[in-house]
Amino acid sequence: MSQVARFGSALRWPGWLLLLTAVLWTGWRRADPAMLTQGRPPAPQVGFQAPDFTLTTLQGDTLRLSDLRGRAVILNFWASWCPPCKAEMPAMQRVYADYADQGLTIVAVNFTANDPRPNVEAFVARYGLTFPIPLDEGGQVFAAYRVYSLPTTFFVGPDGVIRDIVVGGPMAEALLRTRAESLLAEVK
Amino acid sequence: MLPVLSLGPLSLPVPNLLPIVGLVLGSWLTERWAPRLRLAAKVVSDILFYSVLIGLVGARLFVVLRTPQAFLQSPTSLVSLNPALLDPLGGVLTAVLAAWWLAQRRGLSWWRLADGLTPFLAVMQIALALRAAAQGDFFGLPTTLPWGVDLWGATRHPTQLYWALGALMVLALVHGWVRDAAQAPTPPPAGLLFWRFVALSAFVFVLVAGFRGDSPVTASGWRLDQIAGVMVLAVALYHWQRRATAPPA
Repeated sequence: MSQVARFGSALRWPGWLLLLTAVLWTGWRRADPAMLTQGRPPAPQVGFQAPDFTLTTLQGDTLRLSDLRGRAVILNFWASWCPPCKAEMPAMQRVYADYADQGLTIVAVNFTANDPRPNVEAFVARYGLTFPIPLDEGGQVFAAYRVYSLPTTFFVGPDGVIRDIVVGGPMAEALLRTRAESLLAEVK
Repeated sequence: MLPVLSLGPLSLPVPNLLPIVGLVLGSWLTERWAPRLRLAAKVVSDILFYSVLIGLVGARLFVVLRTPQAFLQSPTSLVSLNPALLDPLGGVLTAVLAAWWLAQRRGLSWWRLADGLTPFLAVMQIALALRAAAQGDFFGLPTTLPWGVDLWGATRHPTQLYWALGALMVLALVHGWVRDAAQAPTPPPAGLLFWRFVALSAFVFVLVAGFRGDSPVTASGWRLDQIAGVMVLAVALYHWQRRATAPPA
């Protein structure tokens, strides 16, 4: 007996009914690929465009996220009083030093609305951070990214779409490296 | 959506906590229901415990094998507690292999063990659905229905809750079958409970996936998650009905 015939004879009518319902439902719920991406405004979620923002960095420059299209971006939200942020920043700096020339940018947005600037400057000097530190003085970027816990890190592809989110920390250095390499594979 | 639960100074990441809660509840239920399936509770719960443990190690090793260079540059990351450094598929594969090996060592039939672990799987399915709800994953298509939820810039089908509800109904059915098995004069055919669970879970998944707003689709619009679900359903129905109609051993 063939496999198909064996399948047919084994399956009783309730089984066939269940299977038929599933097949018909699958056919009926076919989706226009565009439909799944329509109505997707920028949102802090995997698969969506990262919400754009413009902030002034600690170094005094203006940084607009959308200007980084074409580069792999690690978007980190932190504060100087947050212990896991302190723990992961040295790894972040090492990863930046290793991959910046390959197309990786780390943007570490500081929660300046609740973190006095002198503390931020002391923190950056202490850890020798060389990547941009935008200052969110009004807290509007933290709100737009729904940051409930520090640190929170978004991994953004060269097309500006969020690929992964890690809430909490400290992140292991290998995690940063694996995600950086995966994003950089899209840049090349 | 509830990504973080704040308890005083503590911020608990709910999406990471829910699988742990599922693990604890599922293990408890598995141990409690094992005797009704004529299985030794201690044997099943031991196999479950060690399989999960080995699965966690496997989940980390799969990440290490994929990106060894990252771990060579940072060897301490090997023992990092970051769940993001676990490969879910690799973990499940390793745990299944471990369970199979442990069942062999204990002289327990693989399909009898699968039946014993079904309550655990049913609880974990609910935990995963709630995890998706907490994280905002597995979100639905925009809808005008009154029970739509505001998520990611639109009012959407609460697909995570549809899934959790469906998974809860599957657990209730599993409970009924376990109770029937306890009252039957002979044990049910090995694997029957497991394949019933797989078939119904696949059916629920196919139904719910039809409302998803983040399905991977082919160019002609077929949802790949639904197609995979239908294939799993067909296999599970075949095994379910073959066992259900087999003459008693």
